[in-house]
Amino acid sequence: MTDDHDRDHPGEDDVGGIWSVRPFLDRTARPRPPAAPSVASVPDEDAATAVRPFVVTRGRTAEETDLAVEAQVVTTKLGQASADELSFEYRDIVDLCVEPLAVAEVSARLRLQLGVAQVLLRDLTRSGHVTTFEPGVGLTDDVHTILRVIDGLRQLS
Amino acid sequence: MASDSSPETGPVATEPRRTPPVPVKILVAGGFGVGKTTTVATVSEIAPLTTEARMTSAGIGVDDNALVPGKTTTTVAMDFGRITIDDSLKLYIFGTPGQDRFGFMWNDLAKGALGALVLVDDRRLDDCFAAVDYFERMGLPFVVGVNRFDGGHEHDVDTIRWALAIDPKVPIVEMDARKFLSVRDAILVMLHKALEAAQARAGRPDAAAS
Repeated sequence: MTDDHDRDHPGEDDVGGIWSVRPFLDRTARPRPPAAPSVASVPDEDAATAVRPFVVTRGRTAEETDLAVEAQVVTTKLGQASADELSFEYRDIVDLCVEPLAVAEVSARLRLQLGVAQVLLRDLTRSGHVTTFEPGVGLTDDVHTILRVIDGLRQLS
Repeated sequence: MASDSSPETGPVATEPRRTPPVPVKILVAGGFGVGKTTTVATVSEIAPLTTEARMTSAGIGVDDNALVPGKTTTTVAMDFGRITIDDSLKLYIFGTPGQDRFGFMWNDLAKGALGALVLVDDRRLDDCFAAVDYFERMGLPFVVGVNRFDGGHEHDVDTIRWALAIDPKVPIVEMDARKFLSVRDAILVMLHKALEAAQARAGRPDAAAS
């Protein structure tokens, strides 16, 4: 896919630079609000992290994997047959993914950090216990798929 | 499809029981407290889930602590939901974490997304600038949704368009994040932009990046 994603890395640019460009409606012209008290960045309240997350993956991080958050994970016959032989998180994943679930769903339901889930899922894919289905690279260009989503949404009420 | 089937186990045992649905995703972005989580909850067929991710970024020019050399790591939480279109197609709706941190995780999230809904609170328009900038640069189809959840009408749509300085082709819709049809229609507007973009690329494949 020769699209903008590879050509351009917005996250690495000076995103802040453009703030002064857009017309500013706020009459008090306050500068950028102070670092917002983002709830998202303080997920400590029920931190189920008695074990540091990356102990689970033996120190490996998600950088060596790139499973998309929406990629579908489904347990194989081998995975179902041999779930009992698996340990801890591996077994949880194999039990959970009898029905296809997204990588992000596995992460959320098992309370595994996304990067941890991605590493464990790679392991299970390599060992044949689960199969992952990545969305097609050209999906954003697939007129037929987009139309199906549109039609499907229209029918909901 | 692409799966590693290890030699010991053979291909038969490692086949899934059935082919999973094709997953597509869209993003919901915007500043803190603007209604991203509500929007996801309103359209999702399941109670929204939250996944945590550790985001490592170089931080230069992106994070407030950009002056600190080396990598920075933050944990961010991301809400998401799901709509089953049919047996073979699932739509995921991801609320993008934070509003200031456009690190590598954003690139991962945006990759393969059909489009984005940028939520705006018209009392705090500037909160959405970062998201608008980001999607403009990515060339990702997006629509601006002015969340009128509390009946607030500080600015009309024309004024908001001027303030955001966005391309006239970017739709701005007024919506209520608590109402299913309202959110659905905003998503439909975005998907039509995505459709137009896909059709344009199909028509002139070499001009996709322009």
